[in-house]
Amino acid sequence: MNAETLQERIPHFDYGRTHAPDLDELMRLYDEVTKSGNFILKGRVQALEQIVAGLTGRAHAVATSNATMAMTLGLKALDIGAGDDVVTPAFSYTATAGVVPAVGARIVFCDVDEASFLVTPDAILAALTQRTRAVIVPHLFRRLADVPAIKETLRERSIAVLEDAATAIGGRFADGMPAGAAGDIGVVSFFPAKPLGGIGDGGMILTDDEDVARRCRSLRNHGQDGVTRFVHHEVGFNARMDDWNAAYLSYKAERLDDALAARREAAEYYEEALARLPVTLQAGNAHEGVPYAFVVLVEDAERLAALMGSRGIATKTYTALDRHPAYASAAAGAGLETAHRLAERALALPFFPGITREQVERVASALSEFGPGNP
Amino acid sequence: MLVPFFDIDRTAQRLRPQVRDGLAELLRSEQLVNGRCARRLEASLADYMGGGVPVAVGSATDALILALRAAGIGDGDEVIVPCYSFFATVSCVLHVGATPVFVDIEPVSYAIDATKIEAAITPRTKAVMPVHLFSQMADVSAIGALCEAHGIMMIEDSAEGLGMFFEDRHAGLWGDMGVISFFPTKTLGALGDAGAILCRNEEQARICRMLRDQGREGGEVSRIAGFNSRIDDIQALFLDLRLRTIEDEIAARARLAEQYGRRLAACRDQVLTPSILPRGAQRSVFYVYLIECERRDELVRHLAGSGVTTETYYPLPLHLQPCCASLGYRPGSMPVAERAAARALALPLYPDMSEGEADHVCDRIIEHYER
Repeated sequence: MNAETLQERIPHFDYGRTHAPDLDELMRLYDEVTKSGNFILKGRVQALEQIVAGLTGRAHAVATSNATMAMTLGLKALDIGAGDDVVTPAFSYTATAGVVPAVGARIVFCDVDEASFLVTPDAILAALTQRTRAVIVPHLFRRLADVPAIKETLRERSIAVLEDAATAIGGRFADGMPAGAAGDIGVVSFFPAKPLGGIGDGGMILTDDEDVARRCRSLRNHGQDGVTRFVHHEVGFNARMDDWNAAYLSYKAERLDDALAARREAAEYYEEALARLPVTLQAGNAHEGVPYAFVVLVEDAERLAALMGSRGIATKTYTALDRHPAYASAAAGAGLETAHRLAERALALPFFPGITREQVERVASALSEFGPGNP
Repeated sequence: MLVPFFDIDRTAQRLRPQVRDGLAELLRSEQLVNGRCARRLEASLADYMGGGVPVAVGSATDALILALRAAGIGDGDEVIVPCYSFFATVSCVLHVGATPVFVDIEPVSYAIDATKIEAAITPRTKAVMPVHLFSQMADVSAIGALCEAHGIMMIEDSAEGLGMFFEDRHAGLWGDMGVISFFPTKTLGALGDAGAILCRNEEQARICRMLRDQGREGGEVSRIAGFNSRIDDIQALFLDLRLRTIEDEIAARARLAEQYGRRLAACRDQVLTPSILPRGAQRSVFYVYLIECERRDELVRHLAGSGVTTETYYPLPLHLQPCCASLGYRPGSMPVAERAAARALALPLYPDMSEGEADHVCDRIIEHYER
């Protein structure tokens, strides 16, 4: 490596790899959308819903403005609200907690598994209360949470399982079921950095329940029934998807296999480069996840993140959700020690399709240089 | 001749080279949502409006909800709203757990009747939300003075107010907070959903910026319970480019409105064309050309049959919406709004529309009433 390469910034995610090559296609779609005048919830959105329903093997897919809204609408469609408890993990993206007070329900945090970082059936059982009406189970980083096992555990109770597959489209459970198909409601995200990422934010609700799907369609569009405009049967939200984004996502969906292969290749680069370093990787399980983020456990994630930053390497760190001031009034089902420990140690490395071996090796070198015992 | 209700093809092609260049640059940046283009748009808006601290979000509906949250309005509070508007004017109040209190509108402007507000104020009233509809602003001077006298807030639903000025101050900057909608058909429309909260100061803006991004403030910790309501940079890019020539578009709208007014005088007995109330020094914008007419639904069918698409703004006033039934307002309680709802019709009006297309619309309306 020459001096210039050593100094070049490594971003956490590089849209130059995933989106920049599609400029011509995006402009072609700009022409199409502006000529047709079909901007929101029109033919391109409906077509994407069909594509994603097919990819995930679900009867209904309802496009939304983003995955946070998809989760929010899902909870509302299940009539979760004031007086209800929702179990959600303390080590996860903030939205998986934030959607619960958004519908007026109470968060009950559960712990996660030390090796896999994921929610387990036991963790959920330890957090159940008399008022639990739903659990949110996120797939995380590279792995799929065992949603089928969790559903089985909760079988005799009237507790809905919301599968947060925001990061996991293309993943498969051990029995071949697609990620997003295991929960009563599934959610996928099309945020630009996601495996199937758009030109703007977007999300989708997945369900096999026709009533839930109909309710979600109403809720995303001001409580209208889709037939008669300006008559509002319930309050609803404005949580719609744009056709320009949907058209681009359809284009990218055709190329999803290549995108997933590039992510798997990037994960392999890291596994090789980190093989001899004192870092802990996320443990695998029987299910085939999608490498969305590459997270390692180190001794002091914050310190390491600052040092990596000084080398132009952009990483991310985490705070356990029960420690976010926004969720101060949440309950904790049992102890959350593992979540706390993981949050202190977890460091997300730069990760994106097309990351080069050289970039990965630079990251590994910096980790090694700044690791425990070094100033 | 087909005349759609809205068309943006010519404008989109005019802006295309700049959109392409901007997109090429955007795709090399590190954020595609709520990033550099969003910041640039917020600055451009503040410039254009002559003040305020805009906070770009995913839609004007969200902007209204976030504004009410930032203002601390919620359970146990009342918000006075006009009963004639797009649904978001009342749904935002319901969203934050407050109670909407409806007041009838005044004729001609379709804005909340300022003389009827005081009677609706109670000890629980926290704010009045006037709406600037179609082409002109509500009486912000009178309403603002009333709010100040009662120690309550004025939060403007200025979603349709881009380009409207009263006494040199832009719509949305008269009260405690305002909003702007960038829905595609709006005066400054994007190519998807987008909006902005118009804050009056940095402290309000700070809260709104947290609310739109999971309650976060620069880092990854959620400080307050928030939402995900961010503008896509691709939409912000398009809006920022379009804003540069928006005055030309507003002028084109004015010319078309003048043409409509002139030609539709021929059926003045059946068609009431819009006019601007002479409240004072104002710059109005013909965002929507709303007529009132006899046998409105027949006219809609006749126009549709002739290839002209119209919209009814709004067929059902807010106090009579199914989801507001529990508030207990009966038909007849808001006579001005109810009359307007039966007679109002929005004609196609957009800068890319030609004189010939406007003439075609007028010809079809005149012939309908001549039969």
